[in-house]
Amino acid sequence: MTETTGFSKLSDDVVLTIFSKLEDDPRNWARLACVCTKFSSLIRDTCWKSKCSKTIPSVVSDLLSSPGSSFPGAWSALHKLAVCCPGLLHAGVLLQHSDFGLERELGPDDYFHKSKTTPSQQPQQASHSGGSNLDKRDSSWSLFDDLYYDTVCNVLESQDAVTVSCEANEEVIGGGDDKSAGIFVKARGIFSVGQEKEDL
Amino acid sequence: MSSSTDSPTLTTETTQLSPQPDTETAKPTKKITLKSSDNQIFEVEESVAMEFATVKSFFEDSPSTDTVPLPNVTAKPLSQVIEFCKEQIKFKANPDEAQKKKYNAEFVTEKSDKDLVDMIPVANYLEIKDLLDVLNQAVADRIENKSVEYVRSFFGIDNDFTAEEEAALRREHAWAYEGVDED
Repeated sequence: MTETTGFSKLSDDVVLTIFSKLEDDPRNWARLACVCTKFSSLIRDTCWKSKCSKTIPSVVSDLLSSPGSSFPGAWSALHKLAVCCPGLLHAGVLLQHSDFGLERELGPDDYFHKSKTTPSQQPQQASHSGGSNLDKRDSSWSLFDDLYYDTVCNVLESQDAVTVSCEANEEVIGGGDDKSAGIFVKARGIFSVGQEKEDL
Repeated sequence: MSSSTDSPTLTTETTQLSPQPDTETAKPTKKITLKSSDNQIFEVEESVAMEFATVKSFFEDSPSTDTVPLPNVTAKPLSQVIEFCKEQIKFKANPDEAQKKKYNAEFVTEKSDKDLVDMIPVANYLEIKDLLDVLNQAVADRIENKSVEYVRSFFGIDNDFTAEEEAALRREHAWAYEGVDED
């Protein structure tokens, strides 16, 4: 029963059809790319290319202005950025400046940089948001926390994107340290209020 | 391989599918012989064989043959594919989407991983689109959220990466390895 793997001789479109059914969770493709060299090249050169072209066409056309100018790993890198950077897919922050209709200014990246250089802002935040909110934060993980956490985690991997977003923020905020930190606290406050409402 | 025939639908299908006068005058229950790569003989009704686009075009090219050799297909997956197509013809004669869906779902759930994977090249070679769709979806469902090792053994694929290459790939997508289901 050794001549069983007719599967390895199977045409690429059939394999791609199977892959296309696993498109929803980006982790599936990322793992399939690790199975063998054939899967890897299919995922990296075909799946991610079509996915990026479909989901972030403007980014693709900006980065790869001439159609033939793709470099090795380009699609892999672009797709990873699209998945890992919450600004592109999860939040829509970078592309759409969306704030989920909460009408607040978004400053999580900004806060991250500031808080690293000036740790003295920590107590200020605590006093604004109140002790009970901080306690709540441990038990319930809000959407904002999630996005913020993602951004912090991937800040090193997606430097370019973060720089862009920081520039944008500075335009809005005007570069004031206290002001931007205040905005962050305000944002967190809004979320805490929302949580309390839900709890009631 | 004994099978009863519901003449009215089969007759119309036979005449429709075979433009050659000699087949048209032949009995509606005409059998076609398929020969697998391991030299097993399968006698199927013409209507079933015509579900296989590859076999169908073979007959269109050379209508006088009565045995179709299938050099890329072994007996076991072929018999399962024939079983599937027989059912599909019943659904064609008597359309019932719910029943068909139920049958298709049962058809794949009762098959082993290996049976499914072996049937895909056969369905692809014989160009049975419905079956291929069903199989692709079933395979996708089975490997969803599984580990790399699981997928390799599922498809019977050898790892042809060097250790360094694989480690680099895994590092690149470390986030993809969280929350994977148990093998």
